[in-house]
Amino acid sequence: MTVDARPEAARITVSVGALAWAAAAAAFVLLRLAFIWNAPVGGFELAGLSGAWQARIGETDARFVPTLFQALSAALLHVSSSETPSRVLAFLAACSIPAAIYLLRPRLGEAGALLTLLLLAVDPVGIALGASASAMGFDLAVALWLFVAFTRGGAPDWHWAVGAFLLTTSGPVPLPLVAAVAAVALVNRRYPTGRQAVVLAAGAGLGIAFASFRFGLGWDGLRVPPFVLFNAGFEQAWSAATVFELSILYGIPILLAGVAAAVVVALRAYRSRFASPETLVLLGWASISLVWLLASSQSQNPVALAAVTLPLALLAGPAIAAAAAAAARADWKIARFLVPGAIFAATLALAQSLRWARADKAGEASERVLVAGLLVLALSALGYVAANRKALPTLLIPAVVAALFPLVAGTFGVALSSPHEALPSPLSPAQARELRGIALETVQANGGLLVVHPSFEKDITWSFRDSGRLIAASRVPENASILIWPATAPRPEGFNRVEGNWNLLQSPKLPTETPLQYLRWFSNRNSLDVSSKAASVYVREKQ
Amino acid sequence: MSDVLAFWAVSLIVAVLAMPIAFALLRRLPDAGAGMSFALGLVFAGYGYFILRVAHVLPHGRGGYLLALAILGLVSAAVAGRDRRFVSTFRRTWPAWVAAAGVFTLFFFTYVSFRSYNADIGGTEQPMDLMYLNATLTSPEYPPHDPWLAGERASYYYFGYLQAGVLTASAGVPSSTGYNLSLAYTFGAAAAGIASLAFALARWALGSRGRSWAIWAGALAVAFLLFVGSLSAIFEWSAAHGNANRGVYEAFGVEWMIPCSPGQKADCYAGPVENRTAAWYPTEFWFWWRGSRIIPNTITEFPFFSFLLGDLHPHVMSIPLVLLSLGLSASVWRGRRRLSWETHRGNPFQGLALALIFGALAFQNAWDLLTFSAVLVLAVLARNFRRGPPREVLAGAAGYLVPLFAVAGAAYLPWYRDFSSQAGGFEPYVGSGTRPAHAFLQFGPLFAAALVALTWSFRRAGRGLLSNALTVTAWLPLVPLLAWMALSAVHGDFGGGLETRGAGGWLTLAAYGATAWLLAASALALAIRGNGAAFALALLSVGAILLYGAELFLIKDVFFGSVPRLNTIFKLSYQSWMLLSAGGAVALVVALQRAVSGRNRAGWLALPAGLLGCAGLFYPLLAAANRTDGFEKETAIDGLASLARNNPDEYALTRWMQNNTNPGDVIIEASGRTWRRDAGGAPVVTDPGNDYSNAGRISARTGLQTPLGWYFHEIQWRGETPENRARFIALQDTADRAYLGSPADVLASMRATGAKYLVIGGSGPSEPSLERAKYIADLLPNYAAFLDVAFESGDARVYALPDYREVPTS
Repeated sequence: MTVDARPEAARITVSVGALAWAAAAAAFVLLRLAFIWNAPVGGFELAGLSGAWQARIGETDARFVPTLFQALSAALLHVSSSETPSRVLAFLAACSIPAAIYLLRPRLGEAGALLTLLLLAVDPVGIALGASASAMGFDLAVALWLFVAFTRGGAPDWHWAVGAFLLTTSGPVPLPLVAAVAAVALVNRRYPTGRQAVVLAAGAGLGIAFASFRFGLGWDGLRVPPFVLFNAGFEQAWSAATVFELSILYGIPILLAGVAAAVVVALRAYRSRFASPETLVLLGWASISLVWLLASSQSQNPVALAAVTLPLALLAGPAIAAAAAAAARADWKIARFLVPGAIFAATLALAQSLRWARADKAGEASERVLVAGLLVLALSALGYVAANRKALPTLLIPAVVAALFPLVAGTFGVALSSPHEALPSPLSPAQARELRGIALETVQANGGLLVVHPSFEKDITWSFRDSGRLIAASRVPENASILIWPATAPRPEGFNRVEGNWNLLQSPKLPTETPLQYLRWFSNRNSLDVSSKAASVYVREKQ
Repeated sequence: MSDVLAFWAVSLIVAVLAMPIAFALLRRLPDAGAGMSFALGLVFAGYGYFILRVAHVLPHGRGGYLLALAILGLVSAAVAGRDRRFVSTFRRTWPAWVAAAGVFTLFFFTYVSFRSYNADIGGTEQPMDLMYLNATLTSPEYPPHDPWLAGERASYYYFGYLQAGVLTASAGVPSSTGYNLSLAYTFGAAAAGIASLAFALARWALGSRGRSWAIWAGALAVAFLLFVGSLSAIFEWSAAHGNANRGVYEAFGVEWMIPCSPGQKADCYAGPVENRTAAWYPTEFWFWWRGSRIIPNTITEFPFFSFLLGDLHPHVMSIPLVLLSLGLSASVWRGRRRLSWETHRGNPFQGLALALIFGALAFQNAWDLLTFSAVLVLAVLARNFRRGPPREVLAGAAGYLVPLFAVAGAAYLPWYRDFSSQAGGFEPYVGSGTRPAHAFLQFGPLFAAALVALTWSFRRAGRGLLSNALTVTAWLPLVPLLAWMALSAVHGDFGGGLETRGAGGWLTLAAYGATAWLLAASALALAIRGNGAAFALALLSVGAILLYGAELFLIKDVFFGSVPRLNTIFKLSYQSWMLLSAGGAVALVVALQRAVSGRNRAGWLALPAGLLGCAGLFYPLLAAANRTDGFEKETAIDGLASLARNNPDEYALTRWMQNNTNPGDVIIEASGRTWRRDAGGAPVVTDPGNDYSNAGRISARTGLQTPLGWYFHEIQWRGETPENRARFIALQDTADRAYLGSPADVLASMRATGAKYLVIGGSGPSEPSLERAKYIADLLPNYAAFLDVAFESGDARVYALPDYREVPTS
């Protein structure tokens, strides 16, 4: 008998769970990193950066809403005139989201929290908002951390002050959560103590004071940034698409999963006659956000969609985890044939539909009957499975398969954004910056003024930043040397047109008119036409 | 349709959000305030929006309105949290909430359907109403600006428009659609409110044995308030079909419906007889208008007429709020403990809520403040009288009411600051009195119902108590009469006043006075007995005393010199209509229930009174058919749909202005005055009138400001002073110079008024461009030579001042 005297080498063990967390967090971070380096400036980010730039040069502009992020963004523009530092700032805030979700494991469950993180990681609108230099760069993180603070309880008083300060200096995303927390607390008569109320009021007052003084840029009347931005979402075009269209293009999977989960949670609470304050807050948060989404359906405001995704993902994550566990235990006797069969039939129908979509025309009647038949077959099979209570959880598989395709397509579409995505849009194209170069060279060479028609003034704030003296005029001034003029206006006398199709803003024509249009875009993201806000450029004739 | 559904959904959401507040304030009503929750929620949401806009907390725009609703939700959550009986009240009353939502929905969609045949916002004062709705919606600052007087704030009671704006903006519908849907909301909320009030009063009056009858009181009250109209419609119908017996028509004071005899020019129907009808109903254009002018030189409008006409006026929009105030008064009266200052200390929320609601009466329709505050005062006194000696009663009531009304005033200070009341005090009325026939045609059905109350109230009160009450309440008609005599003597009109009123006038006055007296005595006697019917009788008595008072006095206003009691009769009889509707329905149902149960044979008098009410339904039947051309008109719900059809360029101009200008911008458009050349070729004003015209139309449709809109209306709102006259005429001159002068004049005019845009309206197939019609075509400058063409469609143009600005970029 021999004895190995050497001590056993220390082994590093990594659990599957930890690996899964690392992978989900990495996906969360990498998708946003990709956005930072790829995305052109557009939509709410264009508004945010334009406002920040105006603040940076000391100009008053309604697009500068004094959130903490916007103020920091304006400060960062002193360091660099690029959008990247501000995007990185938003990204850093967003990077705290995985940690917040991690802390919510006791409430969401290990698997539920992981799935929640995955859902948030692949949420296209969340990616855009969380890595953009809009005025709302901190919103998602603030909302989630406030929820964490609420669920954990026992926070020291100064946390309340910080929370109130952050809330009053952020955008509108945390508002539904705060409304839900307040409503639940008021209904349950769980009022803050006198000391807490004072601290809360102090934090909120400080936030409003900072905002009203525009973080040192000067008094501009009483400002409550979350209210201002909530309202601006209805008034301004923060995307080319409406919320309804964005929901169809990017939001359906999480919306459906979240709403279904919310209904299940609400029914369970109703039946058991009990719901914890956290559950009530979560349901209230989701409901208020959904009302916001509905009210905004015709507004061009992606923020409403991002805001609703947050609570719905928190509801959907644990629900999917529970459904997966139930699916593993379910009766697969019939489902093992019918579910794959239904998926196969649906895939065949989809393949045929995609063929039509590429041709932009539905096929012959016989083909339509075939596709309809396949869909009816698939739905009947799934219906049959659904009728069997023990087999019902197996429907999770086709649901996940159906959700995965649009979600993944949307996620990568936005993260690796192109002009053919509805997010971000409308874009400030690179060409606008080129035009600036040409204009400045012309002014330098010939003297005179660079004149922009007032209808373009707001669009070029960002692309023409740092361009010296610029005139906005509706009529040609005598000493103008270069004009950026409406393409529809006649050529001004004494000026030559600079050849080229000059665009100052561009946005895709959305694939939401017919299902075939959507399928075509789904299969080929570069299939969309792009519409532009065209301008003509004129240079004064040489004497 | 999506606009209609969104508006309806928001209305229901507002009512649901108010549920906890309704429980807290109106729990004593059988439905715990379900029927009044529409008005309740909207008052609080509207006030929240107003005061937070004034404080610059809420932003201008749709988001601000939605935030106001969210704040209402939080207030409700707080109230629900403090209400230990919330769950039990909900369990008890949820069927009532479902019923209230059903009643609201039924009447909302009924009115939407009716209004869709007449959706156009034009004629009468509808442009003014749209202007105020747009002012509350688009004003960048609060209190809102007056779009028809650039640079100044609104001086009017515009709370109704603000509340209509809450629904319009929250639902995300255009103001021109929101206008019509706000009328539908008012119709639905009024139906739900009066049904709730009458149901409660009937339940209390009927006692435990007849409770199942109460629901009929609710239904009857809805019919009285919203459908019954002037009995003159029967005469109109008969005359239209050529059956006008001179003797009968003269007896009822409607001889002016009889075709004129040869040579006769006044007091007869002068139009072509064949135009009066081509169908089963009178087809003569707007024949029903005369039903609102039964008493000469007055307006005798009633709710059905208001909804038929479709003017979104304060007195119409205030109906749900008035009913809410009556419900609150009823709830206060029904309470048990004595009210005093201590009550506020124990429950400050209730006092604050009452203060906001009663304060809102002035902000919504200033005429309502005194009347319905008086009902609250009566309710508080009646409640306290049951609980202690007179001295403590009065001290307690004062301690309760004084702070309440102080807060009611303070809460609306930002509005009072800009509001310039044109009421010039009380005057004795010394003109001809109302003929009994006219009073009968106008108020007959409601008065008959009120008198039926006496058939059972006297018996319930008991002879001894009643005779005491009759003695005490005799001062009610006597004091005003003595005051009238004294005041008219002071004015030197006593003799003339006695004579001019005429025998018929005195008879009407006596009938009103006697009815008020008898009802008041019954109410007092029953109140002393602690009988539940007292409040309904008190409402009837107040309704009668309003009519009585309007015969004796008038409130001096801008019409004093021409039609002195025009507004007094109009506004007070409108209030009386609401009171008599609620109380009358209860009176009829109680009488009928007692007759059926064999306890009071006199109760069968309810049947003829009810028949008279049925006769009052001729008016809505005939008038609705006339207004909608037999329901065969083209339908729409957007108030500018007919503009879009008939003048698409002008419509496009309007929408462009809405979408491409800033809310605070000033525009110049036709002042409404007509200019022509005189003999020497110089431009002169040939028609200075611009009220009730298209003047200020773009401003009204968009909320943008124009130098001056309707001249005489601004006079009404701001006072008939030489300064105002001079100022307004100068503003018209300045605006007109932009259409008559040289380019330099145009620029000077625009700069003087702060205008950024100048409008040349579009012309349609049947209507010329307003600016081209009102001014002299060959004097219109070539604007494009010196202004920017901001918009063009057909012959419609918007010109803008040229822009030249240095834009810093670094």
